[in-house]
Amino acid sequence: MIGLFPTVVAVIVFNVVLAMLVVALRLRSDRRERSFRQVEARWDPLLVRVIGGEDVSAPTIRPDEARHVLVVAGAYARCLRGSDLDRLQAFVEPYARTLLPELRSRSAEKRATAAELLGVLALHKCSRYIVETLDDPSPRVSLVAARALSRPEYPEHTAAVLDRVHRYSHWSPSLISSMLALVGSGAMEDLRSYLADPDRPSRGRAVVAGTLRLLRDARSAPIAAAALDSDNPDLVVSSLRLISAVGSSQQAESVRPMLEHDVFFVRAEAASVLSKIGDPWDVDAVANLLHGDSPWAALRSAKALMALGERQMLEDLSRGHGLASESAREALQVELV
Amino acid sequence: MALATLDKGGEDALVSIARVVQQLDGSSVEYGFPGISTCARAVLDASDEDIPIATQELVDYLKSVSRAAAAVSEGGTGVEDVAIVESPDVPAEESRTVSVLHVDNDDVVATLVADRLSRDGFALSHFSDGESALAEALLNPPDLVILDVKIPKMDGFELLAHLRSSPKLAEVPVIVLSSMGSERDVVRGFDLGANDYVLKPFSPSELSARVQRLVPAS
Repeated sequence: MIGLFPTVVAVIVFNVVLAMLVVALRLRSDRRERSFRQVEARWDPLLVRVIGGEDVSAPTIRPDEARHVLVVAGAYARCLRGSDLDRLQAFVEPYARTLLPELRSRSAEKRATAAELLGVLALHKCSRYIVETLDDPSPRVSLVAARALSRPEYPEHTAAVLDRVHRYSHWSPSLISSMLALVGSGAMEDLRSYLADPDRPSRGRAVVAGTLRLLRDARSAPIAAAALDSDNPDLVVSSLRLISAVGSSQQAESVRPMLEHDVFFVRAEAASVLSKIGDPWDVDAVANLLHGDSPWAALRSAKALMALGERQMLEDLSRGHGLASESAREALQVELV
Repeated sequence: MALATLDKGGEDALVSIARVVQQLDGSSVEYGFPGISTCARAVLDASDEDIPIATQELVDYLKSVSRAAAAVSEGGTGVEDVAIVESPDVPAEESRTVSVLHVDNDDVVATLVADRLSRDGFALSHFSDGESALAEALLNPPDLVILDVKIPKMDGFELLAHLRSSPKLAEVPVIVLSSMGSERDVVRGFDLGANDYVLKPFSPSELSARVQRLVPAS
């Protein structure tokens, strides 16, 4: 009994300390929230007037409230473009540098927020620091910096972002492709060079092929045809999709061998591409996929045959049994829908 | 006391009326017109562009107050006369404020749109979801609707379809203000009857210009 007493006391003391800590953290959080709301209430109407083009004789932003004001301004900047955005940026720009120390914070969350805010509020003044943030130890912070730099007004940063694309392997390739496509036509040269370079990581090249497809860059079709030599099936599929979007019969010769590829989704994609850029004599090769071991490749083959005008062949097939017949029926049904 | 305002419409007229009403308000405490104080407050608010008030509505109100003031003056309070003098070259019906109904659940966008359009002389009402916006539009048909696509309860395309199928609202111009910028979305918006499609991020000034093109502000 006596031996148990110190343990009970220790547990009680520990719980009391823990409870006090929780209360202290909660109070601190509430105080910060209150402080932010006060700054927001004071500055929000002023920022709206600045955006509206009013000549506002606003008080100077105090150093201790600069970060809060920039957070409020950032929320507006994300929704704006054009002269309204220019006015807001010109107003807060002198204070944006107060965020620079946060780019070296120990908290990845703070570094990411700072990079994002600098990107929307003062990119042309702080781009050097955001480019440096691409090498942040956290891939997430690096991605935020890449997103901040991927703007049509600043195509000169595309090469720097592309050099780090391999770091974003935790994110969907289509997300990264869309991000790079935001730069627009100013990025074309860098993107083409990247896709053409066999020394670049295959995953990065696959992402870039996706970007060029989104940008519908016809000049990248022969580059995509050359990338079909890759051992990486993701790059091959991405290149096939690029050819499908912007290619012509000139790339068909490179696509045909892909019908024999070891990986089923490459064969399926190749059938689909040939239905767009192929010749009538591709029908037999495409039809061979109906009798393979992959239901997916068979279905894509049936749809490709439909696109090539082989409805009669599919109707004949649909009367039978097995994978080829099922795929033919599916393709005919899709056509009806 | 003679009170003259030149009612040429717009923000300047409201501010000038506000100043005059403030003077009148100084007298109103003495002669007991509590209503005029409310009126002055409303006008001052309007001059900050929070509550747009139709100038004609205000003039009508002041006329009724002026009659009360005249009655008090007959009782020997010392006030000789209160009269509202309208500018003869501005017909009353031209001062009606164009009403815009804005549907968006993003408060930041709502603030930006409200600020720009009220600066440019439009009366704006804002709703955060499709259902309440539709109910309001059926009750008080607006002159123009600005809607987002991703809104709760009823999405923007569905709301647009409802507006177009209602005889009361079929002709009301609609601008879609959305971040959904794919070709398919834009085409769908126009197919459903949108008059314009503006992508986010957007320029409030440009949006206002597009609104002016469809329904010029009074």
